[in-house]
Amino acid sequence: MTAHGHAHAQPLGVRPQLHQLAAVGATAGAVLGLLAGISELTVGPQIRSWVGDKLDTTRLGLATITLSLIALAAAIAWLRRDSASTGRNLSVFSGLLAPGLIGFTTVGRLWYAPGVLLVLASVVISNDLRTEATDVGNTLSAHWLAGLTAVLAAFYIFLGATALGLAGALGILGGVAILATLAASSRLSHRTRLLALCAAAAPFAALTWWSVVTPLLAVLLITIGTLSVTRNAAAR
Amino acid sequence: MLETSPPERSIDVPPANAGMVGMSRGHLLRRFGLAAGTIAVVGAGALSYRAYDQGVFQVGQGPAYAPWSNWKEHKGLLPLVAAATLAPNAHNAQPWLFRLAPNRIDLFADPSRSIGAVDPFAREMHIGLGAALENLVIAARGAGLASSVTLMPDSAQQHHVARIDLARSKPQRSGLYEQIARRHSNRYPYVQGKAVPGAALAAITALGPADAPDARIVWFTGRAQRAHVSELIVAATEAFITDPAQSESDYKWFHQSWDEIQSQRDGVTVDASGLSDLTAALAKLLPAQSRTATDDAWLTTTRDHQTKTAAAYGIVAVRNARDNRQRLEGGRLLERAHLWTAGHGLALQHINQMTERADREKALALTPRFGDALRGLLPTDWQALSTFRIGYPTHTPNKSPRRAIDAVIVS
Repeated sequence: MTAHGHAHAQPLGVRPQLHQLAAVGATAGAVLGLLAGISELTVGPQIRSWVGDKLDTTRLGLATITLSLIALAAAIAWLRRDSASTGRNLSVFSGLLAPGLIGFTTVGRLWYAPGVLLVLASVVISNDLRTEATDVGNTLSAHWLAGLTAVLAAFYIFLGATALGLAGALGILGGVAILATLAASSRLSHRTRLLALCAAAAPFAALTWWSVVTPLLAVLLITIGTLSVTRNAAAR
Repeated sequence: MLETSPPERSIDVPPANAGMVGMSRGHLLRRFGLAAGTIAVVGAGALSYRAYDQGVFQVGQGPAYAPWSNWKEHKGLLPLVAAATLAPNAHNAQPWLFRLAPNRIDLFADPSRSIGAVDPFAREMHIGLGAALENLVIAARGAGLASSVTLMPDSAQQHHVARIDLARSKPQRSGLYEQIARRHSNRYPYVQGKAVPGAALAAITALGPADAPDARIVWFTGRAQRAHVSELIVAATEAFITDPAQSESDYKWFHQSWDEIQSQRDGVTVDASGLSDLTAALAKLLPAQSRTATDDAWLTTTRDHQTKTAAAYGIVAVRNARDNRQRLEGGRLLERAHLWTAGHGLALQHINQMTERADREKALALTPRFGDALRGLLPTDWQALSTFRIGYPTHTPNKSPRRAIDAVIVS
């Protein structure tokens, strides 16, 4: 092994064995989840008893794939991290637990193995969070509004995926754009962030105004998102 | 005895609300703000899930609506059956069964799909079967199969309503064929004040074939005629909803849950009811409506939108409305009319409250208020089978669910 290889492997090597095992398990769970989602999407109607007797296997297959990708991103971040900040632990914990639980409602029996692996991994990482309770509290408090905005953006993506067509595409793009704005918040001017929030939230809501849900989400997204980015700007 | 006094509470023990006292007003307000925001987001999440669960963004999608797009994709004679299942029928009960043989299709009534007190003499059931038969024959012609239809072929079997013998011929895809999957009952308001040209009405009248002289369409186009028919329809709707048995039979076929629609694939739905997009979304998001509420909404829609904007009414009339052969012929004529209007930019809605009440009066031996009224509308020796309104559409109608083809084939 090269020196470079040693340096790269070090973070894994110094971590407790249980964590290493859980991170590998989470990665395996996410990959299995991805396979479950692809199976549901492609051969779902032929294996209905394995996919929870779902009628709409296309959308739920896509949802399962999205959840698995989120879990995979969290698992890889956990495997690759070289510093374990409370914020990062919290993100990995949410990124494993939420897909791990939601997946049980989208793909039935095929999620049993991936779901159990993801939930168990999140339990392992929750141990770290328990010992950092004060930090967790502070981190949550500091990023609560950003978290709420991200959750609302996820609802936008979810509804966009159910709508399909132009409106659906705008919903998905809008949600992703809001998440990107939050992620790149520190690199954007305050005005750009506000404009990006409005531009991302408005089109889907305007096209589907009659649904009641999307205009409500857009109002919450713009209100809470604005408070979040304004607060972050003030903090800096 | 040495008395012991209870230990005094230490002055260092903080009161229970110390956290709150120690908190600045701004901090407290911020906490409340965050809590309110969190509650709002949780509520929005619940509403988003409800929107997904009730198919707010999936109008006309899912397996229940697939037969409208894939009816030609089946093998052998199945596309003919699939075309038949797209026919209009009362309450979308789909009261049909088909038996396939190499060069023959038999059509049966399915009495388990009766709509009860709404159709006590199975008049509407046979109209729907006639419409299905017409679609089947048109689709057969389009597939290069000439059909020879025998109505009520077996007097010992009342449910065997038609035998269709098929023979190879040259494919003939008429304008009606192209409309089989485009035709939908349009329950929205129509363009107010825009009359249907006489030539169009004459063309629809001419759809009655020479070999079925017992079925015809009687039109009501003048302002006074339309107003009179509208009045009767509204009165019949009022009588219908105040009759508990009819109201309950009607409500039984109204499906408000998306899962129910996708699994049962029949019945009347919010999407096909001709409501505005906003009202339809609210109807899906809110808890299921009671029978009384749906009855009231139906009366309002009939009175304020549907009858007010009808450009003309048509009544499909036959010589004897109790004869199943004539009912089937009437149903075939009605479907031809519906397909023709779909291909000529017109909207059509079956609006049968008058005939439903007339049958109910007969079933209960009541004073024939609507029976007499219908007789007064038609020439002597003709009896009403089915009523409809036509006009120019303001909205594109939504699809109704349809059962899978496997569910309607018998061996």
